[in-house]
Amino acid sequence: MIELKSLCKSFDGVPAVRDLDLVVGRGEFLCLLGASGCGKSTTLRMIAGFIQPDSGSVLIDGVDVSGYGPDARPTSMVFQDYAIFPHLTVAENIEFGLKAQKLAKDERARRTEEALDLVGLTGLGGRRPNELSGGQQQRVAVARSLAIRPSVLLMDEPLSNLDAKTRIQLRTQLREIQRDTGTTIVYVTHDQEEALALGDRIAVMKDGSLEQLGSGHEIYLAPSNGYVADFVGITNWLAGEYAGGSDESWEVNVAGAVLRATPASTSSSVSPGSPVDVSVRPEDVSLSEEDAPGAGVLRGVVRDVQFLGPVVRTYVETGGSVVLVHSAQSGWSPGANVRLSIGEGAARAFRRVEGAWRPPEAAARPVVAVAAS
Amino acid sequence: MPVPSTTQQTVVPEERTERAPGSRPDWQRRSRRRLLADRITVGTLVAYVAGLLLLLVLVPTVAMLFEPDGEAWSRLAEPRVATAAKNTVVIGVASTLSATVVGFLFAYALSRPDIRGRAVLRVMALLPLISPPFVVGLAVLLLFGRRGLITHELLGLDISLLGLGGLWLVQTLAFFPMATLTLLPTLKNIGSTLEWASRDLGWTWFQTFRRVTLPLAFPTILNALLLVGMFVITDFGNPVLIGAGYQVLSVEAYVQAVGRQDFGMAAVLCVLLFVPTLILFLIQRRVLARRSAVTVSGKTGSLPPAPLPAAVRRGLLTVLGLVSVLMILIYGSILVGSFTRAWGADWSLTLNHWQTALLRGDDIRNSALFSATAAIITTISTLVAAYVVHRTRVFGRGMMDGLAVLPSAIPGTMIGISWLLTFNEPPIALTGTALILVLVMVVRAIPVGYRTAVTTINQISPSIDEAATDLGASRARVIVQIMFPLLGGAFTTSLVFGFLHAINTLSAVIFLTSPGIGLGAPTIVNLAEFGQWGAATGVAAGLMVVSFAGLAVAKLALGSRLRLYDL
Repeated sequence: MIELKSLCKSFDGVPAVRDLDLVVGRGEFLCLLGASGCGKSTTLRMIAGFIQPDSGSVLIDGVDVSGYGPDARPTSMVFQDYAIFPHLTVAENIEFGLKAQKLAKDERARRTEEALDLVGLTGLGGRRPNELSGGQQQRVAVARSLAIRPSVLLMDEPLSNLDAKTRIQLRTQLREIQRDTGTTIVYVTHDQEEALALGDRIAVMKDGSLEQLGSGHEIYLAPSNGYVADFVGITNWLAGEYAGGSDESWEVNVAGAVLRATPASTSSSVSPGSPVDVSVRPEDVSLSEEDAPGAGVLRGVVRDVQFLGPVVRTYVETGGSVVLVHSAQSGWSPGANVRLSIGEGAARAFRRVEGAWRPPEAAARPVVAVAAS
Repeated sequence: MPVPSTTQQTVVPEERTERAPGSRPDWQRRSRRRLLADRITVGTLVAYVAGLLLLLVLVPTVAMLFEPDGEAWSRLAEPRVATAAKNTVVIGVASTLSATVVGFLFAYALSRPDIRGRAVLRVMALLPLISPPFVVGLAVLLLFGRRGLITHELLGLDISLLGLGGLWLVQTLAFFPMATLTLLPTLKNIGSTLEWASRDLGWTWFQTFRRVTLPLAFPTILNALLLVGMFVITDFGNPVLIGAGYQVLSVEAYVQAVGRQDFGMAAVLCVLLFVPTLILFLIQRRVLARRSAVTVSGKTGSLPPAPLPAAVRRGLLTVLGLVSVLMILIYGSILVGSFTRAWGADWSLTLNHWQTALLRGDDIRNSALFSATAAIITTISTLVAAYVVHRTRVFGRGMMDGLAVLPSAIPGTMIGISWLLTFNEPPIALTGTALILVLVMVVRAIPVGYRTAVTTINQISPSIDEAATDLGASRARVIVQIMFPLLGGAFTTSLVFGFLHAINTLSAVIFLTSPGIGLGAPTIVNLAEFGQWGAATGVAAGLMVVSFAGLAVAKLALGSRLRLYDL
């Protein structure tokens, strides 16, 4: 179990991590997700003991480890560039940490075998690192870290140097290993898909602070602010104004038409006319013929259709902006006139706050509604 | 619903229209002319490179091997020779080890951002690289000699550091930068990640150093040992100045050639010195070749290097601080010596020595002029050689490559003596001319220039000249319009390197200067041998001023584009 208590760290006066509080449970797989420079790697390195926080503390299994070096902490790191010792064989790499623990020779051999089996590299102990593929090297790194039985396994973008197929394969293997060993894992990534696939919980970070902490479902379906909605997955932004409604459902005026959207926060300070950004996932938009009965309120023209295999991506221009639509299949051709409808409860509304994160301008231009034209 | 059409039309290219037989298409005629022109271009370059290397490198070396007669060879058994050989081995091993250790400490400190004062350490490691190595010997003579400032004046001792001990100190200080220069890139490249990984797996700093850093640096340490070894056993200036009775092979060969005019014996001694140097050189090339196969993974990324434990940092700084103080004393004593009336007897200040140096200004001027000329010839020749070896498929490329780097394995003394033997009489009589001095400087500078040129030319992707050829450029045009501009940076770097190498060389030129045409470096040694220390330091300071000025001019003109020594 890890507890981070009001952790702060600056580099040359530039804050990297600001007052971070976070608790990771025993056996939990936690992903730290964020864009580069958000402080996620700095946080990981403070847990590992590579860098010392300016203030705040790190507790591992209830013990304050602040001030201890990495060799004294029950953590083990898996690096983005593997950090496999090139002058040692695979088995010697795995034994490296076991020797530091002064284990007997036969115990070391047993644990090395075990670790190799665990990552599916049985029998490759005698190989040299340069005889292995990137995916295999990273599995050696995982085996090396797991062999010393750390309380916490720390992973710093371990899959980002691998090709797409190996990445997905290793991802699945990592989940299995974690389930089998019950190791607590803190995993840093900038890839939201990876975070969704791996994490029991995801901590989304921005500018050194926690934006949202929750399961993948919560993060994706109920983002607590516009930044999280935009960073995790793909979304369409519609700019509008608050028109009324309850705490559970707002009516938002999007250029004349009224959309129903779930507010991310309560509407205590919102009043009719307040600017609101509405986020709609591409898979929640459906298209129908222009004069079909019960069609949506927004009218648009299909600009492009891209077949991506499992999904067809349709770009629909409505008024000044383009809305992305994902569907299993699409019979539309560029130029077709369509109407867009939004699934029940799928739109999320975020009150626009001065100085806070805002969706990119181009994506949030008002959409001209049918009623207005 | 409308379904987008997916059928695609295959576009069939139109057939070329046939020309009437007899009239060749234009492009074919042009292509044949181009082929001929290209052959002439390449042929000219090959002839130049091969001729230069054969004449300047191969001919004198081979000629010298045939100089000694049976009688001279039989004198190898003389006790004099045995003593010189034994001394060379002893001082060679001792200085090589100590210089590499000190060089490693410097490189290790320079690779650590948590070591403060790295700028000072950098200057300390740079000084011996850009000044003549024998200046260190001269300074030790002034400081620790029989009438030395420290031994005699301050401590009142009647002993001196001359001989084995002094030579060991001097060669350590003069040659450690070679090791630093070799080791620093590797130590920087080992990568903080691997060290962090080791710390993270539970090892302390010392264990990480022993189990990760040292093994990974080992091939480079070996390389540094071999390189320093070659410099140490062929060193001539320092043993001649402060060896006192401690004779080594290079000095013995000089004594035989210049003192006794016994060239057969001198040649035998040179060969005796050449054999181990060549072996070190060949092993070193092996090590280099093997090292390129082992890539050190775990590049740094954004992870800063692990900080050193405070005790280690303090220890390292203390040792390097002491070395730095010694270096400051050494270079300071040259400067002070040049203003002191009579070192060891009359400490009053004077400008006399600078006047003498100016009177001997001819030597310094010759040094500067000849070195600059040699640098230009070397740079152009080595760039052409690198192009011929690496960008054409002509016969004998391997041979040219070997000859271009071979001079770094030939002791300077041997080059000097072999040139004296080869170019003394027709067909090529050059002795006593300025040309022979310039050319011998070229030979001394060729290996370094060639390596710089090869590195740069290999950085230019072959697809660039392929693209130019494909667009219709001839070889000559590719060389002039593509290669030259791209090689611009290497050209100037090589020029400065060549200049410094040429102006600081002593052992080869000392045999070839003549009364009319002197050079700075041999003059300093001659003056010092006759105990004229004031004049010697004056000329030494003057020579250093010239090389530093050359360096400063290049630095001003090029700024950060001048990448001389990556320290």
